[in-house]
Amino acid sequence: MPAMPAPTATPAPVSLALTREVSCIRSLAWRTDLPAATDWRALGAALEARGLVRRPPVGAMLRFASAAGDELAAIPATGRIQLRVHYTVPEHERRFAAERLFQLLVHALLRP
Amino acid sequence: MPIGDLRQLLADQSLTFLAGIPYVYHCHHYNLFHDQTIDDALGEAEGARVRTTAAHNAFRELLGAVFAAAGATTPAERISLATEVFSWMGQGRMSLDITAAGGRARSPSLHYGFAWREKYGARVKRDEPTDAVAAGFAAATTELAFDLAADAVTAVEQRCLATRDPECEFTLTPGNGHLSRPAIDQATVVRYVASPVRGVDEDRIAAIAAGLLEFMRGVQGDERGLVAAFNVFVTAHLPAYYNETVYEAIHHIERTAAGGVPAAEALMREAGQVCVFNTFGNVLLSPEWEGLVGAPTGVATDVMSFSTAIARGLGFGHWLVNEYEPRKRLVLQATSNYEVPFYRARYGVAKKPRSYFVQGAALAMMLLAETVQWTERPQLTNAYYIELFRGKPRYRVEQTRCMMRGDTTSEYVVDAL
Repeated sequence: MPAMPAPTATPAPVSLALTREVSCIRSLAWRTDLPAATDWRALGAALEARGLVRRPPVGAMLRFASAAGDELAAIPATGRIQLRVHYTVPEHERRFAAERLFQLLVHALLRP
Repeated sequence: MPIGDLRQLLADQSLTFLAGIPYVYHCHHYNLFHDQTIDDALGEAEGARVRTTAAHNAFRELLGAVFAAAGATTPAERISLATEVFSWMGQGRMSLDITAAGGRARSPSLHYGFAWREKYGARVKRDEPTDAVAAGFAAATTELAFDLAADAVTAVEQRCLATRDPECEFTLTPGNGHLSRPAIDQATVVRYVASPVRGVDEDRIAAIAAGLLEFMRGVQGDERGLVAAFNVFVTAHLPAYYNETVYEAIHHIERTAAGGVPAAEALMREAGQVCVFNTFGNVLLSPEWEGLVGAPTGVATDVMSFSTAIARGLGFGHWLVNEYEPRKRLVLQATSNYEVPFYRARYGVAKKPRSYFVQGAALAMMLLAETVQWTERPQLTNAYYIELFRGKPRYRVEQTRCMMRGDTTSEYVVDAL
């Protein structure tokens, strides 16, 4: 799975890995983990600026959706990010859809 | 009237109702396994017939109550409302082209067909359609839309997503008709619950269950009538469907092949295991859970409390931990569950404990609490399920009290072997 360097509030860059999430539905859910020091408010604004729509949170879980129906869920307390590809995407294309969402996340982190 | 406005909650028993008819949440793993269990017990043809009949009866109860509550009187109003309810439940979005004489129904997105294709489609070739629930729904809708008698219409699925057709198609034709039975509604259910009892870690369980119930209030089908949540496909479903299929199958085997009863009962118990492993497991590992409760700790007593809270949050009834000693013993009790009211109302007092679903669930809760390494991001795969549940037995479950039998509460004891 791809790994990309991403800056954080600390000077040293961190490496983000995109891995398959715990899931029973094939290749629909993917995971990456951000540092606890992430500026979540700025990240949320950057995601919205890149076209994602903020959805109502579930407890401490933040949610953003793309026009295609893919979702990004974030838990600031733990840094967990779940990327959810819409179930109508054919299985062989799901990984690429997840990677596009991952790229969007990284770009939001690079230019919040 | 928004469909959500028809919901009621019997909060102290963790039971949920839509227009006064009980409903619960189950995921596609459980739904597919449940149906397979019925077919395994009865054979494919008889299994499909029992499942379709049960869905037909269950949706007649639900839709009759919904139409009355919403004041839907014309065929067009009723057909429109029925398809909205079905979609709201996460069962899929159906198009019905029907008259009093029957007609056709179709859908590109039914829960059972779509989920079967997702779960098994790449590995298994299927010849028989999966959507008995949708067939029963279509028949019930047609009858109620045109004020026909029960079973005046029969629905048969001709094409199915699970058999690699592009969409599911049903034909609706005149049926034989039979007398309908009284609905098992909220008034019936409350006759078969006991006063709620506090269990171990009660305050925390109650708080988490309340949060989960609140979250589930926002869960409903999307534009395709499906719900993808907790890493699974979720449905709001009718206990009457699960119960009629299970108990009709068991009673049939008791009448015709008594020697096969233990095996059939073990199958029904396994459906409870499948539910806890997949549904409870995926809930515990989901970001939603992390947002509501926190990341999994891996502490066995936490997992036991969380599982009990999930059962309540999904509308399974007031389950409580009476006693729990890790790696040795669990005593799970229930002052209500979704199996008891159906059995007592339809069949009377049982001669032996018959709460198969919770029996299997209790055993699975013990294994999930003791064995799964929750902090290591386990993959809840079929291979892991087989490793946990079909290897050397580590625990046994016995239902020591059963409200179907007339006991004051239901009790399930899991002991280490």
